[in-house]
Amino acid sequence: MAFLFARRRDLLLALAIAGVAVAGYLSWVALDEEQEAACSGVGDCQTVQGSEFAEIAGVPIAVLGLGMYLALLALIAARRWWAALRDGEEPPQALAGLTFALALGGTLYSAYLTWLELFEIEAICVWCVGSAVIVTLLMVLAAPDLRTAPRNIEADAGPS
Amino acid sequence: MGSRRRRRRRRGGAGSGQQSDQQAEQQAQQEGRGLKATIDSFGGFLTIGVVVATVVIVAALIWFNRPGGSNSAGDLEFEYRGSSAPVDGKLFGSPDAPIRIVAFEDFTCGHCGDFNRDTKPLLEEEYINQGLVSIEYRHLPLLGPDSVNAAAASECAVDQNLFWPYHDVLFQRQGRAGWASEGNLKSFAREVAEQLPEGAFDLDEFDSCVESGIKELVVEEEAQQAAQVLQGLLGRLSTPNFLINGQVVPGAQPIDVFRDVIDSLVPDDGG
Repeated sequence: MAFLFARRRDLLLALAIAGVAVAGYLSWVALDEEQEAACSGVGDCQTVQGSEFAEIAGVPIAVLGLGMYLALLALIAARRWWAALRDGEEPPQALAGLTFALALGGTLYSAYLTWLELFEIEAICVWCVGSAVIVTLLMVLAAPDLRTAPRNIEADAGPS
Repeated sequence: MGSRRRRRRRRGGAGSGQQSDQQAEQQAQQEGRGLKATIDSFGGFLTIGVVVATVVIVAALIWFNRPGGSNSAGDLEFEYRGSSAPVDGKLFGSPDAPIRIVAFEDFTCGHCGDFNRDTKPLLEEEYINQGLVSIEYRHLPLLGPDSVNAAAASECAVDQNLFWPYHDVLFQRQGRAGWASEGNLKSFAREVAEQLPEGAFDLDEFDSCVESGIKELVVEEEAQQAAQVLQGLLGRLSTPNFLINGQVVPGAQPIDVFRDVIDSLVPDDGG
């Protein structure tokens, strides 16, 4: 566990990329009528993808997920970019807040979707469960950045 | 980046060049701090605001996508449109029509529902009522027990030559898992019966047929044949798929795709 947190920022980036890949695949399956999700015999992706809960107002949930992961990837990359370009200077606290908030929203909604799979649709899609795990880990690993105290703005700006 | 700066400092040497370098660096740092300070100055409020907004958005998404919510067509009243086209079992349209569309479908498949709600009425109006085209329904229940149960119940409707009105109500009522429970399937039959002349739909006979499960074998046999045909043609199984006089039209394509294929097949003296 300590190792995970030691490589936390690398893991955040890797998880965001994995999330884009999973949500991208599910979006492709959802948007191409001829495609079926490859479940490899685990769960029942077709039932989940074909259920009424797979879309909101005609927009596949997978596409919403892809948008969320791309935003997370952009935020995480921005934090790394900031630190790299500014001699390791801590990035603005707002980026950490946005990352955590987005991952929190993804986790809450994924929890709801997993509940739907278990108790309403009665079928499990391994890709969806994978996405739920990824976004939950993203939220957990993004949380420590919230603890970083904001710099003293007056001190930074110099004597007035 | 840091090491690059350090190298630059070492190369710079003494004198006015070094001084101007330092001034430029200080200015850049101040500008950077200014931007960061600006963002940080409302960072705390922004974080709280975004978290609250996120929770509100998630709640809205859950509300909109809730079981039995507005995303479902389950609350709409079923209206059977009726048809002037001849019907024989699972064949819709004239048996002598020169063009036959064999439709491989699943009552739980959403895209099959799209085809039946959006495209089939247009085909009916433009070709089927003119005796040019007929549609033959073939079961290919791929989406679990609901698919098989619905297909078996539709075979019970075939016994009373009421497959097509029952087919229409199934595609209107298709939905979440469990939608094709025995109780629901009987209830759908009552919705159809309300749209037909009194006594036209023998509900007792239908209920007994559904309860017996006797039609599951019929569905299974038909599904095996359909699977063989589609595997041979497409190398995979999916719904909906259509064979128009042997020509494959995969998926719920727009009406224009059907028009193009049908128009290319219509005999010269047929229209």
